[in-house]
Amino acid sequence: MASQLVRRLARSRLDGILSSSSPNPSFFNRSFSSESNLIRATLFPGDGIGPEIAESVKQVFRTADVPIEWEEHYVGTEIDPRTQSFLTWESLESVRRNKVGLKGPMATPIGKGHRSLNLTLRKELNLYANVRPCYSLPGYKTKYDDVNLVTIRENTEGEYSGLEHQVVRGVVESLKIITRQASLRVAEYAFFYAKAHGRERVSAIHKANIMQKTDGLFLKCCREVAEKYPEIVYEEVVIDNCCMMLVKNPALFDVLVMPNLYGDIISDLCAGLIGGLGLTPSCNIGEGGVALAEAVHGSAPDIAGKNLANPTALLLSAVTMLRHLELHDKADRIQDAVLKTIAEGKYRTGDLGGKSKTTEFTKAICDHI
Amino acid sequence: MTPRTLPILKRILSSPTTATRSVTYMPRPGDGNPRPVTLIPGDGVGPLVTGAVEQIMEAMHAPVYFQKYEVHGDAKSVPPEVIDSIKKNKVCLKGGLKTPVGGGVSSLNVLLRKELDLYASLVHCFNLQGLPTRHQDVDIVVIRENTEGEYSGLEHEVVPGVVESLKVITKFCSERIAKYAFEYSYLNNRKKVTAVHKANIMKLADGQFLESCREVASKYPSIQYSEMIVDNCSMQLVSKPEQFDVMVTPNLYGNLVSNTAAGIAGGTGVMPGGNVGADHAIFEQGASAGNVGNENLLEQKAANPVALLLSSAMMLRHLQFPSFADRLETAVKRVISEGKYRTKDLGGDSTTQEVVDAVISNLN
Repeated sequence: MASQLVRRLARSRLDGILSSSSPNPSFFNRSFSSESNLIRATLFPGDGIGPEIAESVKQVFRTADVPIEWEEHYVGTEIDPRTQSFLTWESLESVRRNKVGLKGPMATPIGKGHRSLNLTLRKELNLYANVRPCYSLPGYKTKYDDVNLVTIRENTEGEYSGLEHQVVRGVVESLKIITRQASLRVAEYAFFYAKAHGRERVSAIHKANIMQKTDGLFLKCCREVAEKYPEIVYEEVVIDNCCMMLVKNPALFDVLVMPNLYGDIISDLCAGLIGGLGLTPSCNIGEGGVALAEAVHGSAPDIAGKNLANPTALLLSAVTMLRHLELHDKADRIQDAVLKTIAEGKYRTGDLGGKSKTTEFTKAICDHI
Repeated sequence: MTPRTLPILKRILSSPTTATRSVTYMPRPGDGNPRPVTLIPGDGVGPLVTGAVEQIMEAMHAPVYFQKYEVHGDAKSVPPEVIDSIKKNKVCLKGGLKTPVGGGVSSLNVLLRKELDLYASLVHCFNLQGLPTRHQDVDIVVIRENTEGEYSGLEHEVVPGVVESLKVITKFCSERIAKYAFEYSYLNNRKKVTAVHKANIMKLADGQFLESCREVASKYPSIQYSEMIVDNCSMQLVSKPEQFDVMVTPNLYGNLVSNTAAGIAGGTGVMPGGNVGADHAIFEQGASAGNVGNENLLEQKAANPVALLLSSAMMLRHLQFPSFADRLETAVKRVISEGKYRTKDLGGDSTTQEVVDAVISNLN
């Protein structure tokens, strides 16, 4: 398993070097400056344990000499009328300008009259694909040891369009929308990602035997894109088969691309396979090459401020962000350091079964770089 | 080990004479007359596994006789004589019907359920003695609404490139599936019912489903009721499945949850299940009933008959022949626990016929 990771990393590094000369234009609308110039990135520390783990990330990046300058933004205390939520217009502009961001856990304040924070980010930045690389962490034993897959989920339409209404009393209808444009977009990104990271297979997950027109359209778009990448094996798997195969033998899958609802369920299932949301990295891709990496776990208000939080999810998400920026060298070093620290088992936070504090864990990672 | 497998295990380990029962089942005069059951072999490996059931029923001299009807998954609708037969016999055993993907033909599995209004689909996922899996202590029953929800089949193209699909949830259907789930738990001495939903996003639709479940739950105070969001549920299923007992879900989530639960307990080749409505019942392989295997499996005749055999045991109990059901179940479980005759999906290399012969020889 570790050798597979090393092989993948080596291949992706090669691809990164070879493909940087001709990148796909729609995903790289920025000119990559040389390493001496700093790349600006937006940082949303978030609530609860957010600030502590964001501090860990900053420390690790400093130790690894990553050429990133952080622009920190916090959730406001009142509703900004321009965004109709607690996120300020300035923070959204910052992400649009920098094209890269890292987001910690945010707790949506209860109440009416404003949009949820995640929904605001998604709509304003047009984040259409959610990418979750799931791989078993060597040294942290779960019931599954050979997981190495990536789930790519369409994030804007599908069953989550939010279009429901009551027809008559006791009868409710909910609309599921699939468009050619959105399906093509996410399929393009899935194949591009597979190629850029040296992945060999892309599987489209669907239920087209029952929902023939909607998932049928999604599949048609995936097939169209698959033809442009003949070196990548493309297959289609019905979702119930996929669930069964995932829990029996997750090594069968490589890259999974799916519409919104199936993506939600399958990506959480895969997170469960490797140990939970506290260890899973995630990255949202938007139009114009925007990448917002985020930690998908909650803000854990009960351990906030006590130096007990596990920064792994945010660190690995930051690594995903670095890979998007093609800083593969730094990404590999940080990823190796994190995996080695967890594998050694000497410094582990409470949720992994250890007793270390956040700061001790971070320091152990820095030592390993 | 769950408390229910212990007495069965004791029986298996004790001397292989006639199965002992503590208190006998007293039938009504005439209950022993042979009952007709509609049999639909289906496509792919369907005929192979239904043939297995026929053989074993003969060997046991069970008081059922089968009326066979050929139906294939690419037909436009189920032939009316089949529907009439099921309406007359009230019980049917069926192999899988293969639905062409994206081919413009609705799934016959779904049509059959809608036509006969079989609104509850039940899949029982449990660890089998002798079959090693990553998870232990699994004993989950997934009860899934079978007629509406995402499988309404109401799709249309709004403009070229934009397709809409309607998900319909009604109070009527949600209530009756919730009632069935709680009644099932009550009659089978189950302690917990978990409703699986996504009401944080689909507030009205899944909200309606949850409301119905809560109403019914208040009438069964001795059964513990809880709710769980479907993505969290999938995560819990793969990490801590022992916390689940009975799960009640709308149509699509039920499909995913039952397949996940079947996968963690040993695979869809061994999990029994059935569809039941107010008047009729159809028994088939538990999860993934539309999966009819591939040509390879058909050629080698190596399909796993265990799921359909256990489903036919469920059918025998439904027909009130408990002794035959127990004998069949004991024999199948003994074959699995011995481990000598297992088909490919369980890690062995026997053919269907070998497994059938082993079960027949283990019948007492």
